[in-house]
Amino acid sequence: MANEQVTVAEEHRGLVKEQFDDSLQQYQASNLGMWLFLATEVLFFGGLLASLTIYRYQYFHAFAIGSHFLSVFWGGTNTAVLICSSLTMALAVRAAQLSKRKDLIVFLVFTLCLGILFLFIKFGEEWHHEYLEGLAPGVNFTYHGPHAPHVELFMFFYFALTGLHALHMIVGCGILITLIILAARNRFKEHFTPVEIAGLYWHFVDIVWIFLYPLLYLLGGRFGH
Amino acid sequence: MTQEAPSSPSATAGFAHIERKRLYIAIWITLLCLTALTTAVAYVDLGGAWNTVVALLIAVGKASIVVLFFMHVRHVIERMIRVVIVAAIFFLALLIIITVADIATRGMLSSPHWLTPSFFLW
Repeated sequence: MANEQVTVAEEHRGLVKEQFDDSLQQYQASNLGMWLFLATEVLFFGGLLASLTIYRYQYFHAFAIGSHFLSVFWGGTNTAVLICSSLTMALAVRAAQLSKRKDLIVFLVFTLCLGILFLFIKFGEEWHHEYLEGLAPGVNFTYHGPHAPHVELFMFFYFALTGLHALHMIVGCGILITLIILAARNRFKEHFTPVEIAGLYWHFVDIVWIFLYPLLYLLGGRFGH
Repeated sequence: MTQEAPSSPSATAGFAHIERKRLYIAIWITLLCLTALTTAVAYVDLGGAWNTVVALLIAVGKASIVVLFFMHVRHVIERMIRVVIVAAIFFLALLIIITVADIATRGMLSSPHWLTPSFFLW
């Protein structure tokens, strides 16, 4: 009964694309498609994670030295920032499901602000600091202590992984801006599928960071250094 | 043309399961606590290797919570999604385990002399 009402409303406004029977089928196909994309993303990051595992196994001490140059404070803060943004994104999806437009826009704006805060800490605080400290391989690398070449290798992994993650965050911020504009035009009234799949993407990027934080910042423990 | 909007919230949501706000807040607090825990454990000497194991277990726990609650897999409507998730984890595990197994066991067995490059290069 309820489904039929929504279906009629969505089909009426041309929100169900012609290849789908109804809005339920479109919803299921969109969700499955997003999950398939996320599965490819797992393997996209997986290549770097597998090589990180191997080199960390081979050059454990060098990688521990490199890890201790990173700021646990900023890394931990950014983890918290992303978890907060995941909460606001989940609440935004919930607002879209309930067709609460004002709540939806507020939560999307919150999420966007937290995403930008994350990028600001990442680039403005961490990368900037590491560059000045001479820890940026290929650009400004001045560490000449023990295991220098392999510490440099660790920093390569650090910049590649956090850079790839930050790229996903930038894409996510673009998606959020689009959603905010569309929500302002009332496009998500009784039609929350785009918000829901954007939410899946945002949570996935959060999960990637949940793994990067211990793998890069807390590698092998922080004690005794 | 105005469409008459269904009045009750559950009718508007249609086919999706709507979680309670309180649950999301509880999940958020749990995730923040686990982040604090993983950071704290890093400063305790468990012997290096165990620090990594504990950190990764906490990360897997956090990721599972996000997938089940924030990404709605707990109430997912399309069962194929679960297959996709298991496949993604399986292939990531395959990628890492097979590669690490190769690297870790290299040099354990000596190759027969006719397999070494010098045999072919006279």
